[in-house]
Amino acid sequence: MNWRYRATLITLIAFFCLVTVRLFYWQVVKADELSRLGQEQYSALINIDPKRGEILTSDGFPIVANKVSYLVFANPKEIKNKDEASKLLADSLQIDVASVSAQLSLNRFWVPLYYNADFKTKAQVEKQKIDGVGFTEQYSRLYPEASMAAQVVGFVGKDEEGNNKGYFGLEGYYDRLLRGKAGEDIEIHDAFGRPILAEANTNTSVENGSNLKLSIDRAIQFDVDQKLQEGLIHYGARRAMAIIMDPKSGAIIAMSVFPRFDTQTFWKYPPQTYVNPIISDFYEPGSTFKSLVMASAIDANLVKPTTKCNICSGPISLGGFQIKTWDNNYFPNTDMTDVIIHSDNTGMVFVSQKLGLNRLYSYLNAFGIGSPTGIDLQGEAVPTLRDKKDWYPIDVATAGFGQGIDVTPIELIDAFCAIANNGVRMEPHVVSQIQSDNGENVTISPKVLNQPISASTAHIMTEILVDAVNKGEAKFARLHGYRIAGKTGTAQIPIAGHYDPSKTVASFIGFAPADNPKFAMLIIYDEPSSSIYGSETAAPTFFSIAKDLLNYYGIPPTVENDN
Amino acid sequence: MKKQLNLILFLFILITLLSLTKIAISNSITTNGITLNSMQQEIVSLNTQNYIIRQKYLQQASLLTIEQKAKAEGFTPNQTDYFVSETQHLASNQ
Repeated sequence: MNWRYRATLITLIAFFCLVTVRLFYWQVVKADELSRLGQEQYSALINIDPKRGEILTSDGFPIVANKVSYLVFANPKEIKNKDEASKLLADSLQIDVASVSAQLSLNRFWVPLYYNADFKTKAQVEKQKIDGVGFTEQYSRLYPEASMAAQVVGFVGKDEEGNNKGYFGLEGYYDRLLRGKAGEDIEIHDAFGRPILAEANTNTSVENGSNLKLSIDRAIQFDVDQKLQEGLIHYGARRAMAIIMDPKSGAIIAMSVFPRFDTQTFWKYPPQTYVNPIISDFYEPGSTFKSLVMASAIDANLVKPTTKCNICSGPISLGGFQIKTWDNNYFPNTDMTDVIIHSDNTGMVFVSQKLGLNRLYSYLNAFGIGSPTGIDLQGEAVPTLRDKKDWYPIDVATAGFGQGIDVTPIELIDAFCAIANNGVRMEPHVVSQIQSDNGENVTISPKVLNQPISASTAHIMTEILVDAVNKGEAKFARLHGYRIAGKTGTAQIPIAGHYDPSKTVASFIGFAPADNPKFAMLIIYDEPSSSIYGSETAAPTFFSIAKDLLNYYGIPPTVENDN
Repeated sequence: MKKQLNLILFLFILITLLSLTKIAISNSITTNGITLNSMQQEIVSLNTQNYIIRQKYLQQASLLTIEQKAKAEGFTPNQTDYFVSETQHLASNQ
């Protein structure tokens, strides 16, 4: 073999080695990067946002749905005459010219101009044919019934990363379920960007948010909203609240608070209006609490409806304080039924002293006072029942008539519902069914919490409460022909260590029909100015709504000649 | 010699046919791409319209709107209540 032949052979081998090394470099070392670059030329990764779940009332009508809206944006570098464009855009979007002009003067390729523009607004902007202005389709919340149950529903805002997030009420509590899971899709397209059919299309499927079906009845909620708003204005109250619950299942049928915020423009309202006071605000319940303490004493066999009060002939002095009745009328030797009928504070001191601290404390615990009810709404707060060692005899006495003890409205109605439900306390809930995107429905079953009193005690207490409605302070407002159990409440408000006699929380709590309750209802007016009494403010609202409810449920009157 | 010519002719026809098939398939894929693109745009547009129609429907079906319309028509809340205590067999005598 001559040297020329060898040189040629070596050169060729070296050449092939170089080619092999280079091929190894491109096909093995750089394989992933090249593959990605190649994919980018013929495919596009598309993020698919999930649709947020809707919130439906018990009739299946969405009180919170989704609507198509548009983000209007601009590329300032493409806009030639910025002054004219600013004027046209401001006119179409009905916003300030200065704010549009400020955005267009930025040295950026993309600036947002307007969020949540509707279809008409988009059409108006398109009509102007301004170069460099575009739209991004997005979904935002639609509230067909406007602000119905605003504090129950909550609202959708943004988190730190700019993603949608539910706050307060159901939107907050069920945010993870409502939100769903975002997906990605790889779309293969041709040189002109047109999608082509190819088996390489892969996607991680998007999971839309689940719908929530509520136990809230839209027609009842609408009626309650109207009646409560009328009451708020008529009685000159600072705030009004109403809650209607099915005592047998714990299902919330209606929940209303005034004043409320507009869910569509929540940012225009002070943050304190977002909070649902029915589950978050504490108040001294006053005489409505007497029914719980009386039921406890009857259950403990300490009193009967006919038991006579031997300390009810006048004001009671205790721990340096004097306990009087609300109207300064006293009924010597009054029985327990009359104590509730007359809402007699001295009679309730007699009852709570019979109970004593230990038994009172354990019954309050059993009724759930001082513990969260577990309602499925964000923001439930509970005033803790202070330690037994911190109770003085005066505290035991005043707790009997609902002063010196704090509750939330949801806590009170949940405890009261035990009387309506044969002594059994249910967990309150707003959602009755979760409907997932794949068609699976999960029904929320009623949950029994405990039984603080026996069924016979509940029946005895019901009869006392029926008498309280028929013969008590609110008898002028009652519904004739029906047996309704209820109790008024007028609680003074503690301010700076003393009670302000001119400011009260007026309330009425009750259930109907008394023998087979379909609903329990609590009406509260904060600081009513036309009258400070629950019997003259909350009671008329209660009976007005109760009348509509009995009609709505088709429950006929059962008591003849009831005048 | 004739055999070889036939083979060349056969191969030529086969290549031509395969080329034409390839062109036809490519054309079909491109056409499908355009159709697919327009279909996708149609789907997006229909979805948007669906949402807008549903939005209008929900607003019209809301109790707020119904109440406003009823008031405008002159309807007033019923003041008298009518109750049926028992099931009435309305068709029993027919």
